[in-house]
Amino acid sequence: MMQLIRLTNKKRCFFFVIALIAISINSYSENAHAQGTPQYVFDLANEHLARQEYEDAKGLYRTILTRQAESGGVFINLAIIAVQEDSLGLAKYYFKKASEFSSTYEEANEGLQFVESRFSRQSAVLPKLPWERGLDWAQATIGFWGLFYIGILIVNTSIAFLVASWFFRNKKELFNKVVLYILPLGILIVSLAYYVDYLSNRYKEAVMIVEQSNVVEQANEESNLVSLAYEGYEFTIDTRKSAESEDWTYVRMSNGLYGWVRSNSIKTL
Amino acid sequence: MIKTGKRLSLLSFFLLLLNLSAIAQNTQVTATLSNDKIFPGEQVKLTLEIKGAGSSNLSQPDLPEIPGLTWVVNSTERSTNYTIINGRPSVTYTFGYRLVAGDPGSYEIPSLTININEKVYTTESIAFEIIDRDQLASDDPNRYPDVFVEVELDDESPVPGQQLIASIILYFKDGIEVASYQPTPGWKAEGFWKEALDDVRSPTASSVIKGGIRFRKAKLLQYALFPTKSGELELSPFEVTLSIRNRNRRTSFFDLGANQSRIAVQSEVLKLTVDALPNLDDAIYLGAVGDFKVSRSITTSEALVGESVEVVTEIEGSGNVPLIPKPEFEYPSGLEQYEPQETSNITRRGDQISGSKKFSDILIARNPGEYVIPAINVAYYNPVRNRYEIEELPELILNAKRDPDALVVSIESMQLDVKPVKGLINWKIGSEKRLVESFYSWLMLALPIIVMGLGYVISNRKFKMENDVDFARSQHAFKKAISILEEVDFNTAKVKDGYASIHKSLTGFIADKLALGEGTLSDQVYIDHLSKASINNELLKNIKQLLTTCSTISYIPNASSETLQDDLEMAKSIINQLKKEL
Repeated sequence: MMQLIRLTNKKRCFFFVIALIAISINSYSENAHAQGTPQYVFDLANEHLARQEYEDAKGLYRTILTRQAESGGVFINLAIIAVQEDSLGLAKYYFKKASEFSSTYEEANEGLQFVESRFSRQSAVLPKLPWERGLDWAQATIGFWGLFYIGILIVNTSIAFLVASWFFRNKKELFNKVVLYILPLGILIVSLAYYVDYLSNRYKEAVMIVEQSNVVEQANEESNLVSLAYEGYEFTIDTRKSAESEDWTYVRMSNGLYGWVRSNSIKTL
Repeated sequence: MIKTGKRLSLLSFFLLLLNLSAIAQNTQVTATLSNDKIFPGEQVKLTLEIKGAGSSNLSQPDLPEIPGLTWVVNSTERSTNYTIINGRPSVTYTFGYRLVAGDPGSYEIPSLTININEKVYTTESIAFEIIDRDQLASDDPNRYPDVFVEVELDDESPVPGQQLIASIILYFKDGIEVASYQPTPGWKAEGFWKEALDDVRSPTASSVIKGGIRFRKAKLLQYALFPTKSGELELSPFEVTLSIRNRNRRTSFFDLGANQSRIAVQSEVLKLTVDALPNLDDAIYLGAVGDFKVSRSITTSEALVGESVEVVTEIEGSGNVPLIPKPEFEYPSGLEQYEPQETSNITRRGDQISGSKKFSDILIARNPGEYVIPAINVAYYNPVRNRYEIEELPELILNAKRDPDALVVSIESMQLDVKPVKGLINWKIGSEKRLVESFYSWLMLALPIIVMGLGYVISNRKFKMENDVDFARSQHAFKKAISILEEVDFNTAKVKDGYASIHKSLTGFIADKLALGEGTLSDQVYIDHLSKASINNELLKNIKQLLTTCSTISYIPNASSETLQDDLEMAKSIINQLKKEL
């Protein structure tokens, strides 16, 4: 009996040690995993920000962004650092990025108002055409994927009615009328989704982050001057045309003028 | 020319001559020799000058025996000069002695002793050398023109930024008088920063031997040059326009003035090697070369938010002061930096450039708090010691406080009220894929087309089944034929019924498929229609054989259920093959 009890105790010890090792390995791997998460890096960066160690904080926030992880909070905090460092153009860029997230939309708009009020120069703004505004709204609110889903749902519904009309010939006329109305609508919305996708890929918004830069006719320094652009100015980039030059970007200024600016003087949203 | 002399204190005395009384408190006795390098047989002049003394019984001193030189008797000169300096009269007696050089060698004029008003004064001895012309023959005397100019540098291997003294030296032979000189403007000292030095003294000529020929040399100008880079540098020629007169060419009284001319002479290109500065660790190089003192201070250690403070860096000393750039310091990120200011006070006196430079970094704290500007090591290069001199600039602290008197409106406009985001936040991982790049989107687009196609096919088939009897028979033929075969009973007593079912199934399948009338046709009609339908011969032969078996089963005495089963399987096989071919 005593022998049995001893063996049982040995087994208990053995299992205890094994369990301890397993828990250690598990907690270590969980800890290692946690250290690599964007949230962990974000918390670490926030500690630096609280201590006004802006360079360290910036480095960590940017590390998060390079890992393809985005959050409105990261952009808000980067914008605050940029304001502290008086890089208002950069601050505007980060606030605009933060405004794309619903969780930080209000703070970002407040920050944008503050930054805009501190720019000594404001660009003249040519109002957009109604259809441009409509497309912008669709992109900002629904997005091209949202439009696509809506369109494909309508198309599928109309196809269902069409197929039903082939089986239920007594209601063929009614079903065909339904198809006639909603199928073109569905195709139009799907086409619109592809168009918005194309536009958002070809034309991007950008903000000037340097104090001043020349907008020139051709992609070289000696070219004729089109206009002067200042920190905080917004541009629309034509990515296809910009691909023609490595160091220059083809832009449309908010006052309607077109030209080339140095790529390192702007930051694309 | 070498000057020697001794200053002795003297009681004041009255000088009475031509009703002028002169009082001299200090008497100076100086002996000078016109040349210290003399050729054998050449004449030199020894001048004895007694300044500041007045005496009616001052007699010309006798010369002692001078080794190497012989006094030309009756060549003694004497002159007296009276001056009034600061209201005090002074008299200078000058005695000149002409001497002829003897054999080559190094000699010395011993101290001369003079008794003035019962006081004894002595001059210092003067060393001189009598040079043998033959020993100088290695240097071609024809190499040098009568008048030429040279640029002489005080250092042949400087470092970038080191001050060099470039002296513009004019050489001219005895017998030539230089009435005036004019430097040609626009000397391009490429690779150097150039500063003209103030030289208050008018040029004085001294004697020198070059290439075995006696020249007179005079320093016309002086420049401070600072090499701006390391490596081999060339100093471009310096040009001077001279107005000269050659006394040796005048042949008659009527040539007076005719031998005066204007010539332009220029120096040769001067090459020199500028050594690179050594590497410097753990300090910021200020770009200063010379001897300096560096200091840094802050105008105030306490300021209000939005108030400007200045961090002043002063570099003071001698060297390349005009070239020192503004040192770049790193400031805490909460301090805004504005356009810096620079002031300098530079003196170009004598052969040295000295002065100070002040650089003011204007900083404004945007938020309250303590800002620490860290201590830093800065360095300048000392060319005398050939090393960097490192100085530590101390740490500076600025305490920024919020201005309580500032208007609320201005605070609001200056302050960003957005607070940093902390804690758990939502993350968006990965970027949004484009529609055209997404397989899923194309699949979604294809789905309605596929559904529509399938629907069309199904509905069309349904319609034909309902309205086309032949089509419906053809579609149901296989199922019907197989179901007949499935119902066959293998009981030995019912073998004939089994073969009847096979026949019915097979002929029914052919009739349904080929839209033939059922039950009224002979086997040959089925075979003929199958032949027209171009089915393969082997299959046709099997069908024919099976149909024949079915028709003749009544005459077969030993028909068994096993034979029926084999033929049933064959019938199934034939129907399957026909299904594919018809």
